[in-house]
Amino acid sequence: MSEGTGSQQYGNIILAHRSGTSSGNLRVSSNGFTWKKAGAGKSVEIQRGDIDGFVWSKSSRGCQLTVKRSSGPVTQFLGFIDKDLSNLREVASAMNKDIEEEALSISGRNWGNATVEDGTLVFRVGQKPAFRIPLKDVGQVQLGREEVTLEFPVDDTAGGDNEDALTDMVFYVPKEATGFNEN
Amino acid sequence: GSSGVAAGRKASALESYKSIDEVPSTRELAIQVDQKNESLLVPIYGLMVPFHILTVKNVSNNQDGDHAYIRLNFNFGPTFEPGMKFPQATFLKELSYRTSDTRHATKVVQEIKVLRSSVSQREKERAERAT
Repeated sequence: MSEGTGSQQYGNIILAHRSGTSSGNLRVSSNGFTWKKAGAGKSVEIQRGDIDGFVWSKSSRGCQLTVKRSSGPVTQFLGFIDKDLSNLREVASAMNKDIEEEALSISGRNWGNATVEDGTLVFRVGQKPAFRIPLKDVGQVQLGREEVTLEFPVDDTAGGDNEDALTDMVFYVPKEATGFNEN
Repeated sequence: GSSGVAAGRKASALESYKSIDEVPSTRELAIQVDQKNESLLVPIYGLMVPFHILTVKNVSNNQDGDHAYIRLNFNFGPTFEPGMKFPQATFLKELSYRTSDTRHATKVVQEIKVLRSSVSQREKERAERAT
């Protein structure tokens, strides 16, 4: 990949996954994003043409950049600091994209609205997203009466000893609910 | 109500945190209990997502060889006050986690049970005094 405008590097950036604190190095330029897992192995590349937009959120584990992609679900990177935002804005504007700032729901409520947006399940509580789940990571979806179950495949190679890996997530979806419709 | 919540302070008014700065920061992606704010924090896609203890219906821990499974069941639907207030709302009903740290599973499940029971009891007493 040739260098684009204002290439930047960020260390200790976590690629959000259902389990596993995959920490790595993120290189960002107007050509796109390349994340490489620390040590060896896994890498993720997002070409400029595949980037639809960005969302920036503060979390208790550092700031999160959500990359909306035209080819499918979002990719989420965690571990930025506040002041990274202005530098990332420069790259985004070189791509003619905005970085939308959005507060996460931290109200502790378990009711809201679940929608599917471009292959990503977004659970919002009082308009604010509590979490986003790329549906390609879901192993199985089961539809019951007023119930949706998401099953995640167990991956023994991800996740360390100190991590709890999500295996099942069940939503109660009353027949009156407006959620789970494709936006 | 099934949760004891409807009798006390309205569950629909529960709020774990007002600002992100109040949420305890953690490196590990493991379920934890925040006693001070009467909430648990669970890992979902890299984030630690808070749930108020009064949204929890019950929690269980099942050991399977080297691993343990932690299952969280939440209150939902018409028997839960927010479900009556917001009939169109979708509820997170259940979360299951797998961990290789069986001691952590035992400890955190116990912590959740104790906190849930003491906060429910307090809310019940508060409601009784109010009537």
